[in-house]
Amino acid sequence: MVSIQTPIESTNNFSGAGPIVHVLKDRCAGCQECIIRCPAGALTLDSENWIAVADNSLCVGCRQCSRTCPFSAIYVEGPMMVAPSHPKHYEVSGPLLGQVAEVLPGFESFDELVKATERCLQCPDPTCVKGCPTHNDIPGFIRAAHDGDLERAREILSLTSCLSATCSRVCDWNTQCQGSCSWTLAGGDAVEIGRIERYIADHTTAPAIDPASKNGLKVAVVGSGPGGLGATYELLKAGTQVTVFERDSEPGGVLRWGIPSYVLPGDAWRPTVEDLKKAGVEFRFNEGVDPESVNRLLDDFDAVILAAGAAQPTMPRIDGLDLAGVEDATSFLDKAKALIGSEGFKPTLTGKKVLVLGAGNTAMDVARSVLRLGGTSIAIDWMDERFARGRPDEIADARKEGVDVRFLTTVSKLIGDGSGHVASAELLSTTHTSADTLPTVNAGSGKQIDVDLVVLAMGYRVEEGWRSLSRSVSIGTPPKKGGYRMIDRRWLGSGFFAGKPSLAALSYEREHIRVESAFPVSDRIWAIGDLRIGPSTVVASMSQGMSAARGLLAELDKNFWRDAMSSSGDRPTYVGSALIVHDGASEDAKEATAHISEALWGSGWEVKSADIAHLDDLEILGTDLLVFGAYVQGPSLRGIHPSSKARTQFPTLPPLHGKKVATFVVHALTAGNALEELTQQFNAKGAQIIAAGQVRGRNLAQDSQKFASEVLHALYK
Amino acid sequence: MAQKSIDTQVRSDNKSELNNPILSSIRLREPQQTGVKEHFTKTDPGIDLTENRLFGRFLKKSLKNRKFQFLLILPNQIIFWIVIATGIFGVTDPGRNFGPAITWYLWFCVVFVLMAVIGRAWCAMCPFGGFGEWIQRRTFFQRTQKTLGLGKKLPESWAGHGLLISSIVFVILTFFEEFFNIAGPGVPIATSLLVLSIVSFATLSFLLFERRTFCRYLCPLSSVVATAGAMGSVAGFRTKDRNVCLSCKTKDCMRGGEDGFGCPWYTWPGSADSNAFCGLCSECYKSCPSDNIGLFVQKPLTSVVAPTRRRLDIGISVAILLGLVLFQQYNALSWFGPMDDWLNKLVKFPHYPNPIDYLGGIALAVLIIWLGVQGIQKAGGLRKISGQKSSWFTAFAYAIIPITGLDYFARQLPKFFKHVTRVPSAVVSPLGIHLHIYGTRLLTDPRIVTVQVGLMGLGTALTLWSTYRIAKTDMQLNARRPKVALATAMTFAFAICLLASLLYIPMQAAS
Repeated sequence: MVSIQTPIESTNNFSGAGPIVHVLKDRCAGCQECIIRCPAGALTLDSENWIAVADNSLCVGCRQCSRTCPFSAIYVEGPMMVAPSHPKHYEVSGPLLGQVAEVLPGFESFDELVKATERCLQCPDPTCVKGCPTHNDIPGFIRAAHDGDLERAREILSLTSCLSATCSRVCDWNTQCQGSCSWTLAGGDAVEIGRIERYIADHTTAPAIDPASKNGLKVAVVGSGPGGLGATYELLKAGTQVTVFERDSEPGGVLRWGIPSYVLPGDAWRPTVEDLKKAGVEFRFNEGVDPESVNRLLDDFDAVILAAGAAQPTMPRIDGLDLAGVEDATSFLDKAKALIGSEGFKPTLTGKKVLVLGAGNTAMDVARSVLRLGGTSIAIDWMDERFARGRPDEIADARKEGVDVRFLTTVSKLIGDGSGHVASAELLSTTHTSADTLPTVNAGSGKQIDVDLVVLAMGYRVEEGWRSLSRSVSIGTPPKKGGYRMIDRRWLGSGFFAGKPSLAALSYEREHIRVESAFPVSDRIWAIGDLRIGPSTVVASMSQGMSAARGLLAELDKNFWRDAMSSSGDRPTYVGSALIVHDGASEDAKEATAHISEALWGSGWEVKSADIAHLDDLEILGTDLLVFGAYVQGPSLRGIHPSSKARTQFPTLPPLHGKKVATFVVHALTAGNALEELTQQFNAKGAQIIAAGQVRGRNLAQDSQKFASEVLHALYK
Repeated sequence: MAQKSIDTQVRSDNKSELNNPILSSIRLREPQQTGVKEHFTKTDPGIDLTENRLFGRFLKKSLKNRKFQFLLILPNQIIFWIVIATGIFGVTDPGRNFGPAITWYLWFCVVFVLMAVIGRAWCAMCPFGGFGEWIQRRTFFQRTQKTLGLGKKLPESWAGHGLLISSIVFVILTFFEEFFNIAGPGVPIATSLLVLSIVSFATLSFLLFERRTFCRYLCPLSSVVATAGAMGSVAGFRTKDRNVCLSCKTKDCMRGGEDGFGCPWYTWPGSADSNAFCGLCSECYKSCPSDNIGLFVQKPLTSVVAPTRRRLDIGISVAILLGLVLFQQYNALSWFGPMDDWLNKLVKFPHYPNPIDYLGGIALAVLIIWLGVQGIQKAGGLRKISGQKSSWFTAFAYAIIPITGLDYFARQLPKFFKHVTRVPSAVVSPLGIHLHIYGTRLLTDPRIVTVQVGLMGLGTALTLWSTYRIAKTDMQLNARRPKVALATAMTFAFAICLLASLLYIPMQAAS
């Protein structure tokens, strides 16, 4: 635990009545969850009555206490004591033709930055950090920025992000850090975290990547998009020799070809690539890696991280796609990016009418680029605007510039002009009543419009080769939505779910995928980003890349975890780490794991024991051996099986490719096929079973020790 | 501006947190640990049943089992639905009908014994709450993540009154019970309708509110169980090591963990200092990730005399409940009937009990206790100190819990001794079997009064002991004339006990 932060002092003066905190004496249990999380230190414990008491004069009205109370025993009335936020919105100024100036403004001065930082509460349990996909230490860098120490702020950022200048421009703050700011959860305006980060990134250089020593690992990273860069950065920091394979002639992936310069100028992300090059990363351009040749890379490298992205455009099933003047968003944006702002720029779409299929973020980029090339654009989406996938602020900005964005509209066919060029499109209206259902097309509502160019911007998918690989060999199925066990109570405790349940669920889903990224999808192969989960965001891909790199280091770099551990007492020198997990269904299984732990510990193993229900998946990383014991349930009509707890919890374990596993069952009379069932499940997870045994309840100690001996024998043979 | 520096090295130094960067951005304040000893030592029970050498292992296994509470509820659930069915479809003679017979001749006495010995044992097996909870959780016993219903919180303005709502519901229910002569017992269908309406009210509450809001606040029996149950020897589920709870980062026992729901009763084992709100459901025991919960027993009356956090709502509830049972006692006297009739004629109310003398009698008892406490305060020179603990009314009300509880029990005894033999007869009579024990009395009238008065004598002794302990530890510390405070408190308590006890003699004579 780090020392508590004092709130940043605000220069704003407030007048009038402040907030009033009400503690329900009947229900307050004195657990102090509110006290330890109150940013203002307004709550203390009345140790006579053992309930929380509030000093209203200190309360800032952030409602963190009422969100975090497990028993709903506290609530706050009254205003929020924070200066109003004045976020700058995009205003169109001047002609758009050839315009490359950034559309989203940053802070103009350090004073503006300081004013924004003053609104930060320095929450002891910051929900903004949970909302940020890469978990930047937001209160930490805001505090440093407020103190004027921008270098330190950048240093804090660089611990969790190598693309600060990029993320602070392209992230959807409202569904990430700012959406989960305490002020937002309380119904107010968020601290402008994105723009604060941007100011820091723009006014500092990233700390040099200078690993203290080489770890001897050689890792191949496939793809140099945000995921690949994140993985490379993290591997490099640990002294790994990294080679990046990029099929294009330039690095950056989606950063380069997918985001227009007026949103993300090249100088925001290129320095990261330069830093990596300087630190010794070998970039092999024009060297794509086929899905089939991934395994061959393992001959030359210790591990591979696949971050090839998802670049195959989604195609509509309509006539006329083969006409000239129909292209996909990637090629359009690539060309547009090269043209707009180039020397001797000449508008190529003057007087042209462009139909953009889709109204997501890429579609908005296309439509706005069309305007900068002199054309007019119509973007259509068959969904209702309420359920649209695009960011509302992007859609609003596009409309401000003059893009005609039409929802509940789809295209039925593209019609040529006779010479093989697209000339018109037939549009149909749709009906869309719920976010959970697909829209229905209203037949007979056809309306024809003239078009000169059609750009397909309906999203991307993983390329067929990688998809088939995922089916047949290695990448595995993407992490399932909601595939996690119940929500981590540390997340519940922060009050995030009580404030904005849907946003918290979204963030938790992202976190689940980030954690899953740390685990190999096949022996020595990790897969991340769009390639694994389909199109996502820059920051999510980068954080998954960093997570995969850490997982890889934990698994393969023996010095990464071990340097902090040492042998103690009379124990033999450290030989490895073991995680002993029981199903928690019986005291017998628990006791058996205790006997096994003792035996392994005595042989020099670092041992950690846990109930599967309380197991943090990350604990599996870096352990040399996983021992799993389950109680046998039955006999019953349904036969003899591992306990229902084991059966329920088992599927939620992460992939265990290459992990050494020893498993046993504890039974009173007979184990039936329970042991076989368990080993099959472990095999399906990719584990390497080294021992499987039975422990009888009546002979618990002896059988457990015997099994431990079998495990040790299997390890050393 | 005083500011502390940020340790930017935290993440890079601590490799175990590298893949969980959230952890290093959390800078929680330290929980306050001072005052723990002072607050809890007196109420901390000593014996953890789960550590018992003989049956601890079995108990642990049972408590960890998710079917534990289900198996407690199931038999009662079956009985109560039979009660409803037989009340509606069975014979009209209440003595031969299983529904009213088991409810009024046996159930209340059993419930009282359970509460006086174990605390909220009945709540752990209650079919009303159990039924609602099964629906709310969408399962009989599994740990589900999603609940059915609106999951609302009881409005703060209501929740702030704690047990008072339950006491009021109990008073209202008792009025209807007296008015329709349900527990007499009267016509069997009345018993069925009463049980059905409680089940419906409970189920509706479970669908409307979160957790066991019904049991905690609305159930008519909750205030009786919470007060009389304080005499019990089971302290409930408590923490083994309070510091583990204070430093716990997840509070699974409150929020719910992988294996158990968050406490349905809004009780945190880490700060529980009485058994008043432990429903003995074992959810905290199941959910604690640190294995830091035990099932503790305590000396009888510990939850009456020891709590440092006395509750005003419990204090008022005790006074109300005592007022109610005293009303039920003196309404059996010969002079009461004509007075009630006269009042009914005056306000044109159909028949006994008249709401004015019913509510007036209860209010009068509360007023007398309050005035009595004022007298003790004046005589002993008790200082006023803020906080609930120092409310002398509350402290005194706690002291008279034993006589109140035993008074309820004593009042039920005639029905038990005279008619409990009808229960087995009612069970077998639908099969055409007629037992000869029907009509047999376990005890006859003069002996019943002896038992009643004896029981009240026990209540008096326990009350005097409680009064002595509370007066000695709390009142004397804050009294200018400590001995006078002690003497007046003891005298007043004795006067209440004497009145309640002696009323049984003219009651018997009148009947």
